[in-house]
Amino acid sequence: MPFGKTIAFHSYKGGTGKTTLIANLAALYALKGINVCLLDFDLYAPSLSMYFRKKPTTYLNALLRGELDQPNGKVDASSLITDLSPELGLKGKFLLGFSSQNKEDIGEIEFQHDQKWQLKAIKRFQSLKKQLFQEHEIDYLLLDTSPGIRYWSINALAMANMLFLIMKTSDMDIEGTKKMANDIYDVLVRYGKSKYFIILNKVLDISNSNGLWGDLTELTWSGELQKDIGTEVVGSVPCCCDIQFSKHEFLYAVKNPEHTFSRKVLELSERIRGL
Amino acid sequence: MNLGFLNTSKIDQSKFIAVVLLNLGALSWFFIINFYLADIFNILVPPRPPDPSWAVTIGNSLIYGFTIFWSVTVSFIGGKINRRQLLLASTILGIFSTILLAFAEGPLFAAIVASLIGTSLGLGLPASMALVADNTVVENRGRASGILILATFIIAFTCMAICRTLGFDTSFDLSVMVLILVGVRSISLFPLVLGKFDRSLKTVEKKIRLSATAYREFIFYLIPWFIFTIASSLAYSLISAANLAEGVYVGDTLKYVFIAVFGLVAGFMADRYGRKQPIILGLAIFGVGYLLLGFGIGELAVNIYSALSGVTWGLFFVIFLAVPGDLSTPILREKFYALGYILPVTALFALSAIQVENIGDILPPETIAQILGICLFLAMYPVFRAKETLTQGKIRERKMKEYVEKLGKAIQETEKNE
Repeated sequence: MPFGKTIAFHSYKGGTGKTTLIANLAALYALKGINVCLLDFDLYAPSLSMYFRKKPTTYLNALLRGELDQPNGKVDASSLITDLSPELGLKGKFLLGFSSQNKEDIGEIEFQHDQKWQLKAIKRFQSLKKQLFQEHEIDYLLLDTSPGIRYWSINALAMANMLFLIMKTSDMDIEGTKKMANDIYDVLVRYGKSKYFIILNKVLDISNSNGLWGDLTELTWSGELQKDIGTEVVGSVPCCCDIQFSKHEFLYAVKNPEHTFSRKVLELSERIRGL
Repeated sequence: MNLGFLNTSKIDQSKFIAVVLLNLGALSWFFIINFYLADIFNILVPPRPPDPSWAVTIGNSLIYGFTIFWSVTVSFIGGKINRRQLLLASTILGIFSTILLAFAEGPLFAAIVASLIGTSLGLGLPASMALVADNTVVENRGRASGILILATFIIAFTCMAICRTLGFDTSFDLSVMVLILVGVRSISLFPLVLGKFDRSLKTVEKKIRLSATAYREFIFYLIPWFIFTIASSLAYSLISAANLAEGVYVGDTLKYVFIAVFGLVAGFMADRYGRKQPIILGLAIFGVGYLLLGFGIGELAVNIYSALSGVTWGLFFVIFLAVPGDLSTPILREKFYALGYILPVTALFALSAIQVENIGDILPPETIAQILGICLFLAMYPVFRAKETLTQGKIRERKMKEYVEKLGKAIQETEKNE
């Protein structure tokens, strides 16, 4: 790719903390002066507009339906993309694109299984992606995807260069992730996507686990997991109750840089840049 | 043959090939014997008036009777027997009994050989078929069964073609027949000698009780299979009574070709759309064939009927090889195959061989054909009631996997163009 990187965050189950992680990561990049764009591709259960408390006039759904098509083959993204960096005081661009929480829009996505429609919609997204990289000079395009194996989670993964599987450490998550890796990720890698990676999120503090983890250390556990799923664990973010149970977590890593969570997300952001 | 589909579910290809060889050695051997049974027995026991076919009838009854008896018995006491030894014994007995055919003379000897052939089949088939299910999963069991049936009928058909080329229709040569049969039966020896598998139930699983629902569903699937069996054997009697043997050669040949081809088609359909559609399609096609016979049993009608019955046989052979595996747990598989596959198929051959004498005197053949045609359509009802063993979730999962492949290719092409 001649442009920057497209990164998709995905998980087997919901509730793994994808949105919190990706929003904080994007903001940390923008804070450092890197131009990022974060798109809400969790089309079945959108949450970014709530997270950022924004009510946009145009959603990604309109782009996919072809309502933003222009005669020159491009798409009109002016009303779709919002730059939050001036508002948040970030150095780099922090572009955001939301998807609709409207029931009809979600229903359309949910029941639209016509593969020709899907492929057309993907082409429209590819056109937007090109514009974001060329005209808005984006370094990173981050995609927050729907959990599980559904059309639009697969589509988003297929459009990305780097795939990150966010998972918690429960057996169910591990088994599901393994299956997803076999069924989806391995196929996408075969078709030219870069290797996929695992990010452990909401990880229990092993030193304080009351013996639940036996003799395991986080390092040996990650090693086992890497062997089991067949890919690298690139980050491990601890479970922090103050974030987990806060009424509205909002770019915590930017506002509280000394917090364990923030430091771990920062480490992760650097690791991802190095990949 | 591309066996790549097995990889998607992590199935060992070499094990699968071993299972196919094991089964096709027994099944093709059985089909060839069945095809030439009358010729073989007429040599062992020369026909005597007033009933020239008595020896053939008794030989048939012994083979099929022993097959049913041993398959059911072994499936019920099977847990106590080492499967590898059982399969080896069954194969060696099959080879031995085939060789004996060359030396058999007189009714007693012929009866002993027929019993040994039946015993060989009955001992080995339930475990061999259960191995197909053990080595596949619901998503690829249909295709695996399709490949098995295709391979079986290719072998059987090739052997029959060789026999025809050698002029067996006019002068049957028992010693050449024995050589061919020994060769076919020996195919099963390869996987057993090479030690590619062992169906040790201790390693398969501990005893898990099947719910009553699974048995009920199995019965729903069995009803059309049995009705088809009865209809098919009656058709055989009706056609035989019409004495069209020479004129229906084309239909008979097409029948075997269609069994092989539609067996494979059924496998793909079964894994793509489910098990029920091929059964319904098979019943409808066979019903049409039967109704056609109802308008008059002439050469054309019989040829078309034979070809259509080949389609149904192909579909049914495969689906009913997959369904018992879908519905049973490993420990119960042999019972399911003995009762749900071997019993109906063998009973059909036994019924066809015995033939209902003077069936035309009871009711006109056309009326019988029409009534049974309607029965076949009615047999669809239990299939509609039955639970689809390939669940919607599995179908959706497969569609998603295909979509990922398609999407991967499409995006790769777009990126190349850019």
